[in-house]
Amino acid sequence: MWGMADHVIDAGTLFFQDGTNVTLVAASLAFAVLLILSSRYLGFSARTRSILMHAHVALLLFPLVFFATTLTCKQAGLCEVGLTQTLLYVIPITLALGLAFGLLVVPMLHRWRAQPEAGRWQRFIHRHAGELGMRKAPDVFIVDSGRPEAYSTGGLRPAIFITVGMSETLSERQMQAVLLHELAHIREGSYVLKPITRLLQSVYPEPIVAPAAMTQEEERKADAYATWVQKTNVHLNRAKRKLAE
Amino acid sequence: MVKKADAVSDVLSPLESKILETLWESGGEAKVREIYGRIRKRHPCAQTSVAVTLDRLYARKLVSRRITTGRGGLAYIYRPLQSREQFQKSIVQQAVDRLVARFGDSAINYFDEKYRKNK
Repeated sequence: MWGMADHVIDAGTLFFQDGTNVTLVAASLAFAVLLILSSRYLGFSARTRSILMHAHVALLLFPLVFFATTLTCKQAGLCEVGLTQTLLYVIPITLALGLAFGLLVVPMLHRWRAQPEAGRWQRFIHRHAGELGMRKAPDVFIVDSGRPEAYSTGGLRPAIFITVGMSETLSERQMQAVLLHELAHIREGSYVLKPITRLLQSVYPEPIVAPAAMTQEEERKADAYATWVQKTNVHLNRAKRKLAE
Repeated sequence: MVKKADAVSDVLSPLESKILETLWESGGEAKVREIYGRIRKRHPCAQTSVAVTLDRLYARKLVSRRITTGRGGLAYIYRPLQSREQFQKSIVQQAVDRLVARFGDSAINYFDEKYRKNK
């Protein structure tokens, strides 16, 4: 075990003695910072901001994949480490990891700690997704938490998550308003933002991530849909007031 | 002399102690809505605050909970994990253990003297 750690440290020292490697690693980290800052200051759409944040994660992964690939290549003697050849492996692997992270890992982590809801909320979402012309209705999951919360995730199979705390705090009509709000986020594509934002918020200080998160305009659109379906904004406003208390 | 009920609020927030007191008084299990209904008469608060506080008490292992499905949908039924007496005893135990760990023999000698005096 310790022998292997020594080996990796030696390889790391060698890796960083090469000026080109250092430049590539520094460039990827600089681009990662640039992406998160640009998503903060430029007025991109929700979909673009979520792509930028996933690219940010991919660029953070790049040095790790680059180092691991270089090490493996040397060990296996597969590539006589030409830089271009190494990058031909590294770039697709990093992109695949970034995509897998955003489309599979994050949604899977959320699904893993929740139970599918096969009752009235699933039927409710199924009906309204059909009316919206969505090809597949998002799955509804119940999260075992007493905190009243609702959120949605994207990936290959979009899903809406509601906590037990939410179910016991809101009335039926208020729950429907919240579910319609989340459904509208999924239709608009802004749902992808929430999980990645929550993840980055656990690592970065709030002021860096917050402006890249859901904008008021996107929230307003989701509210407008719920109000349009229910023909009143009373239930949505009451639900919001309860959740803000 | 601190009253026994006040001793609970020394280690918990006001709402936490109100919730635990309500659960002890109800003699067993209760849902968020029921607890909220009883508390708000004496202590104005939001139902959401009660739900979040109960979630925190659950995380601190002071209450247990199970999910139930009723007309209003899913809800938790909460139950205190300790009686009021057990809870107070555990607070005293923690306080004494902390003193002994910090002051060693001095704390033990003090308790010994005090105990003899009272005897």
